[in-house]
Amino acid sequence: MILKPLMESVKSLGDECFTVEFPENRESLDDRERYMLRLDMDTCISCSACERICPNKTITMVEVITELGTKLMPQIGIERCLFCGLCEEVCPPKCLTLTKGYDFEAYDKRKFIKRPEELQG
Amino acid sequence: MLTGSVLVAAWFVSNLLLLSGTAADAFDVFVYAVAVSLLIIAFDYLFGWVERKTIAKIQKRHGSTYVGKYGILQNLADFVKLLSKEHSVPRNADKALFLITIPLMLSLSLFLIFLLPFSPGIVESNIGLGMLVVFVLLSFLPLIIFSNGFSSGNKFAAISAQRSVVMLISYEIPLILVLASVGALANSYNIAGIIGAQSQWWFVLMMPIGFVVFFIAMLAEMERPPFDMREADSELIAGWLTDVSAPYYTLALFLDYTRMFLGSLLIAILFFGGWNGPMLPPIFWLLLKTFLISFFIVIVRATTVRMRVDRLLRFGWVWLLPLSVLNLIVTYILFIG
Repeated sequence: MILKPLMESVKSLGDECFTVEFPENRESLDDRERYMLRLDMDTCISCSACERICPNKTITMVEVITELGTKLMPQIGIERCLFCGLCEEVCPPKCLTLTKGYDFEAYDKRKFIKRPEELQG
Repeated sequence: MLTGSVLVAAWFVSNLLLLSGTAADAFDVFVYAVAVSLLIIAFDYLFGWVERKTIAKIQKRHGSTYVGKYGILQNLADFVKLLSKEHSVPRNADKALFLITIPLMLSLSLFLIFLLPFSPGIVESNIGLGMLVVFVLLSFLPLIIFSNGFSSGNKFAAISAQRSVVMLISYEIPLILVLASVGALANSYNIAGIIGAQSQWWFVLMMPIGFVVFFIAMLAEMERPPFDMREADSELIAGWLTDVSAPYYTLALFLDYTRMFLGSLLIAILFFGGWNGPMLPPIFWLLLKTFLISFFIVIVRATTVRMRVDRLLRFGWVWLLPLSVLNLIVTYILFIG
């Protein structure tokens, strides 16, 4: 009665661990998984489509000084982001994309608000 | 505080042995007691790490990894953290009783280990009815837990105190009955005598039923899962340790592993031939057996779930007691009568 579970426990001593020792080792992600957003500032046309489609109102357009003058670009509060990918779908020049990077942890909540400059790959 | 407990236990043992006329020199006994205490502290520390790693491995985790090589210094880090915390006593508590019980339990556990000889050469404390003395004193531990639980003035601790007594009446009688059959088989209650009687056959082979009953009762005595109803984290927060502040809690952790060492040592002596073994020194064999039994107890912890307290009472009286009586009868018929 109790011997079988005990034997299972002893056997599992030699098994591989499920968990990985983060941050040295990272789990391999599935193709469909998507996390941190990346913005290509050169191709962004400041259309604000991403701001309008965002279900959580995560994106706000802010002014960024570029070589060609001042431009409006998306600033993202990553702590509220669903990673739903609607902004990626709606973006006409496809300059906003979801990547596989998930290490955006921070001690300060304000660090989660990402300026367009910080979103460049 | 830890040093204080060691010194009190050493003082007790040297006095007892001088009174019984066994030891020639109180200073020798004192040195022996301090050396054994250091061994036990090393065991407590290292086994704490072994337990963490083993349970992590069984649950397919890594366990402590970052502090030191393979996380071996994690317990030291926890120890320092606990010692740096504030010490407080609850307002409703009976202060004197509350503060004295945990050091007293640790002293008593160490004292019991001092009474158990580690090898034929190190028999500072080889008294005639040694095993009886050990078990009489061992049965005081649940009563001290009871005192601590009630003195802390906390409802969880009070429930834990009640459970302590319920557990005591569930397993104490089978434990003593198995001890009686060991004594009958060895024709002695002297610890060296019991080990000597196992030079041909270990008692675990001669009375397997007795071993199973004794092992289960010792798990309850040591407060190890599945019989950790006194501490029962998920129901009683920490039972009798709920209101104990960090420095005393550190001592309670040492106490936990010291009791585990004591229990494993008793099982090794009574059923696995104590220091008997080929080639290597006797103390090595005894410590190896103690370690392996402790390791098995950790595997039992990782495998089983906590038993309900009323079921333990039923289990004790309906299963353990008849089995221990049966063991006594079978032992008498097969080997003595």
